[in-house]
Amino acid sequence: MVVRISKQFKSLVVLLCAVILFAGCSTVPKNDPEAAAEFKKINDPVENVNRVIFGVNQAFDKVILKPVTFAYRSLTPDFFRKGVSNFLHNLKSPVILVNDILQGEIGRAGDTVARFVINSTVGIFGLVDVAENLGFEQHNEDFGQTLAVWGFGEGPYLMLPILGPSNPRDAIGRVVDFFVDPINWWVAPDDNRIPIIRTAVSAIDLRDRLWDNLEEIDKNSIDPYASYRSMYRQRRNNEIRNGSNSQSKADLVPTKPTYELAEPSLTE
Amino acid sequence: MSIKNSKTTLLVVIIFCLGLYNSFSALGATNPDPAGEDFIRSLRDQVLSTLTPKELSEADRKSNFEKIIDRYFDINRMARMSLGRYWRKADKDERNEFITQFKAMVVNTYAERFKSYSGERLIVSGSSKRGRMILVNSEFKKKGEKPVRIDWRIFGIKDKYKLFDVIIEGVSLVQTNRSQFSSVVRRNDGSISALLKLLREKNSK
Repeated sequence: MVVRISKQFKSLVVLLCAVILFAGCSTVPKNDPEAAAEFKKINDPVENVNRVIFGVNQAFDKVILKPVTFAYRSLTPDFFRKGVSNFLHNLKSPVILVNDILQGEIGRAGDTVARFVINSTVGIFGLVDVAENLGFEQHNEDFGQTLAVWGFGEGPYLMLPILGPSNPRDAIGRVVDFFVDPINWWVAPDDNRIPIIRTAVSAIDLRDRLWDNLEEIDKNSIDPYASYRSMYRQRRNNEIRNGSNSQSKADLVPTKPTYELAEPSLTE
Repeated sequence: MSIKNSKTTLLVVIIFCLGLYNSFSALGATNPDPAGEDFIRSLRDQVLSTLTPKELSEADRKSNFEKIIDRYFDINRMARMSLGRYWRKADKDERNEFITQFKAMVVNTYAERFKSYSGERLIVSGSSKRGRMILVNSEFKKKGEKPVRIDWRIFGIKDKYKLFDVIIEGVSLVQTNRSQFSSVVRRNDGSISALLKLLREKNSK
């Protein structure tokens, strides 16, 4: 299975590179230092390609993901969807734990272990988040965040087909997380179906949780592509800082905190 | 035996250092501003009493929201920051029109959100002040769900406080708007009137 997946991944990467090369990069504005600075800050050199992929993703959402999620929302009660969500998050525990440790977050690593043990047993295979009420708060870590903590920059913005907003750092993080996940190499090493079903259900779960937000962006944004790009970066930086405003972890991260107390600059 | 002892000592030292580190980072962060916290509490109470009642008509809810904006928000500053570097390129009429459209956009986007209010609570949890800039931290709690962190950025001179940005789980309203507004202007060869046209269309829907 692992070999097959990596082959698929390789062809995806080759395809992406080809598309980007052929489409060409946007050019840095000349003769206008302010525009050039803005271009650098937006850091989206393949914006034209990204926007095409974004359009395809939007169509995919409209035709498949959104209707399926709508059916899921209409046919199942809240507690059921909450259970699915909890179960999926519990499955991610090993990957979260590895990344907690790689980032030196010992306290959070302890939380992850406690959550996994409590929720997998008392919480009936992770369906009920008992640990949250006991003070072990849910959190997310992934290898993209780990790379950031280690000092890697995000690189240019990338819109991945189906997967959505990303960048080289987070895309590499996804691949590493996939191979780290014991469900992929230990529980079901010869069964392609489990990761496929899990990915599909996770996508529907995520779409369900983001439902109201996406409705609002669709309805109110005058440039959804730019809105998503900005929000994706702000969310990721927030996750990398583990939600703290500017302290501790931010000092280790090369990216500037998304907001500070000082008077903000007027450029993006 | 001695090995075990040194291990225990090491553990104690590590725990001690962690504790020390935590207390230092906590010390460095705080210069709280109780008046700013009260300002957000007052805003919250005002929203609760004038925007959340179910029986309000859409028009009343919107006009109540506009009153709240006039009293609590620095809408000019928000508009200026949201337009970013293009603010300086806009002439007076364009600036005025932009502020009008920006305000209408905020009202249209958020007024109806309060309709679905069902007992969620906003708990102000702290603040920090640097110069005239105040950041108030709060948690939005819905029963049975993970709390959402909301931070409020206030500009304060003496007892006059005005809100100019709302940051939800690290995502700033001003910054997100700046991205979409400047993207629209940039993709229309620097034309601010193209942006205004789009905003007008959106707001008249």
